[in-house]
Amino acid sequence: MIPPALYLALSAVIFTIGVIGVLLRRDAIVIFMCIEMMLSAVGITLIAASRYLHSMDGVIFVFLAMTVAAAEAAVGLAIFVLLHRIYKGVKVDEINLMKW
Amino acid sequence: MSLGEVIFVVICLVVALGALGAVLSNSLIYAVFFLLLTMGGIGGLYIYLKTPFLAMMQILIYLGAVGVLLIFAVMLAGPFWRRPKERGPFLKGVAGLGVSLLSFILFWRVLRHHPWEVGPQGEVSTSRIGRAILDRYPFAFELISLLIVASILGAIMLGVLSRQGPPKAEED
Amino acid sequence: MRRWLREQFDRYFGSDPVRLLFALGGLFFATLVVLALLYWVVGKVVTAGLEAWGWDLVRLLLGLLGVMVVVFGNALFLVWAERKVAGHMQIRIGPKEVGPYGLLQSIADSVKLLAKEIITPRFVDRPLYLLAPLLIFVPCLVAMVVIPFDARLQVRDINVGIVMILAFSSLTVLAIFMAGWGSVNKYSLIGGVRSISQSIAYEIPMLLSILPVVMMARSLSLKEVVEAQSPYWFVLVQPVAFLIYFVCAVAETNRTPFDLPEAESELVAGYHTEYSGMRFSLFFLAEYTNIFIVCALATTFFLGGYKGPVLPGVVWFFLKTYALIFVIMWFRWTFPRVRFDQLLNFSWKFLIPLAMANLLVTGGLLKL
Repeated sequence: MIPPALYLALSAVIFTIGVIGVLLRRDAIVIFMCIEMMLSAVGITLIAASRYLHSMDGVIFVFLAMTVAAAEAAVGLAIFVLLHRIYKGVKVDEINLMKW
Repeated sequence: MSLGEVIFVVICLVVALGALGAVLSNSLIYAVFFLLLTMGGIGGLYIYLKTPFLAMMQILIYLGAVGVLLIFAVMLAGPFWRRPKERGPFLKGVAGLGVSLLSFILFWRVLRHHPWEVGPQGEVSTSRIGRAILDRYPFAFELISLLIVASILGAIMLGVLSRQGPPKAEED
Repeated sequence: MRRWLREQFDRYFGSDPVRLLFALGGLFFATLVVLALLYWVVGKVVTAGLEAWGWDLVRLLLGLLGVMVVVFGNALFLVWAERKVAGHMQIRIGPKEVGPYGLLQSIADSVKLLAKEIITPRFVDRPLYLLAPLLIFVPCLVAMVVIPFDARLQVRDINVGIVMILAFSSLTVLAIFMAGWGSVNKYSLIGGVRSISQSIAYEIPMLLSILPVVMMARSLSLKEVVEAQSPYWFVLVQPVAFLIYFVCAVAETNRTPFDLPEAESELVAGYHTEYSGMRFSLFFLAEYTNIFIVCALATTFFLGGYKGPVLPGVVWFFLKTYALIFVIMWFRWTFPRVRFDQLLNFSWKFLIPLAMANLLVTGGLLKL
């Protein structure tokens, strides 16, 4: 049998990698991908917890989070394409029109 | 070690290496494919956690929808072929390492001090998920559908905006 | 070396038939001994493996073997059938030289493809270019695992089989994109882009047209869907869903009239322009397997799968599937290729609303 700690460890590793990616990369698409990665990492934790604690809540949360991720992808990528048309490239520190 | 455990370890390695590759790779399109590798691997983990429906949804949504959209965005917005290596500022790297170390220590302590005593439950069938959604979380479910409609409308609006021509970006 | 061997052979055996017979006998026994040894070793390994991993592994390997047989046999047959059908529709005969009715033509073709040189263009994006022909096979194999060819002839009955097939079928798009992007070539890239937008557009009505079937069968397992069609086939109660599914199936497999990703007259061969030899034939094989799979799924969802009187189930299954494949080939010589905006508009403005309405009506009627 696989101990639940392994799932949690893997989830932590992926989440951390995602955080580092968000902090280090400047390309908006890569940052978006890292956010998706972090969402999925949390998903592993939730499902492992719901399996070992006899509960359905984690499964439902992950299901809803996936839907949110898909919706987010649709809008986010539309924004990136639009930004690319305006700025020629989607580097997050070059997009500073709203910055005061 | 049984066959299942060997495959589990392989999946774990694939997931972790895919995540690393997605963050570190220079080419955007390789990063997308590494991310998809990670997502597929996570789907495999869901099968090990006895939730086959969620595993398939993970593959359907991340590989089929988000992945294809990402590729589309890369083709429309990303730089083509290879780009020079980008370097973030040094302080950001230090901050990233610090945050990751901190969260890892925190996590490690949690794991060490709070072992789960309860055993695993059986397979989570599709009908159980459906019942749980409609019995316990109908409100969240409806909200999600609202969110999807809103995001579709938003994406359409952005498409219309881009067709009208870009607004001028002021330099100051 | 070879000539020397031949001389020796002639010196010893050439003149004397009895000697030749003895030599052949010796060779035969030697082979037998070697085979027996091999058999013994393999048997040892297999039993050890069985004790370690159980019969599941054997079942899986046998299933995979069967799937490979179906994949290759189907491709060989379809290559011949495609040319024969095309020939007869244009009042020609089609292939007739190799074997009876040209039946061995496809074997000759495949030998030719195997013997060709595999060329890798120099400026290709190597990992993507090499991975694409392999990745395009994954969804085919996954779908084959869950399709019920007969009541008991199924590699594995998975209770989320339908979702599984739909989930993995999106890998085809990724593989096509890899091929298009990896072979640095504008025709390939345009083929890949077209394929992606086409498959996004047609995957949605396909899903929506399968949902009513799932609702009526009350299960996501393919076998139970077939079992649910016992008094009548679902095509009788869901004709609209069947039509939508079939149109989407033709579009998903990139067949005429929706073959824009590989339109020969515009993009040399679309996404597989830069592939040659065995790699090209892998794409070819995947395409024919995909056609088989979408038709097999249509049979399973709407035409009662392996159910039928008198004949055994497998025969019925293949009969129905190949009848549908024939219709797809018929399309090819009947409809001209559509324009790209027509293609997308047809899906987004007609098929998706229709499928939605169908789903709504089905749900309402089921609850009445």
